[in-house]
Amino acid sequence: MKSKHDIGRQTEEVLNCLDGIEKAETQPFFYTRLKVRMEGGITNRWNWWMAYLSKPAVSLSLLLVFLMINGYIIFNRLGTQPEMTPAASDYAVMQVSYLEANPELP
Amino acid sequence: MPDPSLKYIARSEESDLVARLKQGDESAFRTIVETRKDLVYNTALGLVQNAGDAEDITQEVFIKVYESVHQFKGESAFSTWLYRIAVTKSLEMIRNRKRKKRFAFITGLFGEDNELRHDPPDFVHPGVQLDNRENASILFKAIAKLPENQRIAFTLHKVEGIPYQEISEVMKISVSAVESLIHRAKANLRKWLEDFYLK
Repeated sequence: MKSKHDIGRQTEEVLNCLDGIEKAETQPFFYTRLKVRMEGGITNRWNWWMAYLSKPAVSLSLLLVFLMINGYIIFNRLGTQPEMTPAASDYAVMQVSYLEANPELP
Repeated sequence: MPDPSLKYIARSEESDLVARLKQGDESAFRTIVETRKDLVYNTALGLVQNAGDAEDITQEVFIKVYESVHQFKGESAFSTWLYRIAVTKSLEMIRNRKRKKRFAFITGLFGEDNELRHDPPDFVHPGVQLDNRENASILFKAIAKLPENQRIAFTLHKVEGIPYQEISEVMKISVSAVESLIHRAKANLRKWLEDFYLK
């Protein structure tokens, strides 16, 4: 078993092992790869939207919102009094012709 | 074409480049990328501890810079703004990875055991000296266990070598808060390492 002193020494060694660390560098031709990615950005964005909308959670939520709006509209319609439709006789404004009024002609 | 060997640029030249980038000058963008890519990459690599993810983040940072350079008002140094975007993107990546790992655990319960696929291999920073590699690997494993803010402050200071003042600007906290975060990070790391060696 390691002594407390050994563990303390090892811990300090590990804590100080990043002293003098050099900076990591990107792989060559980084700018070329970046440009390729940027130029494909519009297609990627469209694909991203399509992928996002096709997620079950998103599409089901949208469907639920749609159904709720429908339900709300139907519920509101049921709650209100239906509009009075005018009697058919109100429309009977035609003038009755002489021939219609006297169908039995000599 | 910018000189790729140009690693650092003066503050006045930097503001000139930013002004040109705001006008859509592509050569200015290229100069900014060539002179600042390693700063962003090293920061991201220290935080996400994976070379492929760090490259992805570096690209995302520069895409963000290109798209939202108009939001940069020049109140802080341009490098501070870059660090801030790099840290934000790195944290997004770490959270995303954790979410995937949690999901892998759930699918594992139902028989699809892909836990191992989400466990990253031991990370060794390429800038670490050869004789320190084993220790660095253990330390990075411990750093990954730190709370987010302690991890950011410790990594920016130890891996990227940023002074406390600039870390405070990146994290938008006071210098004393940065000191406190790094102090607590060291205490947590020491405790984790002692437990590690006791086992």
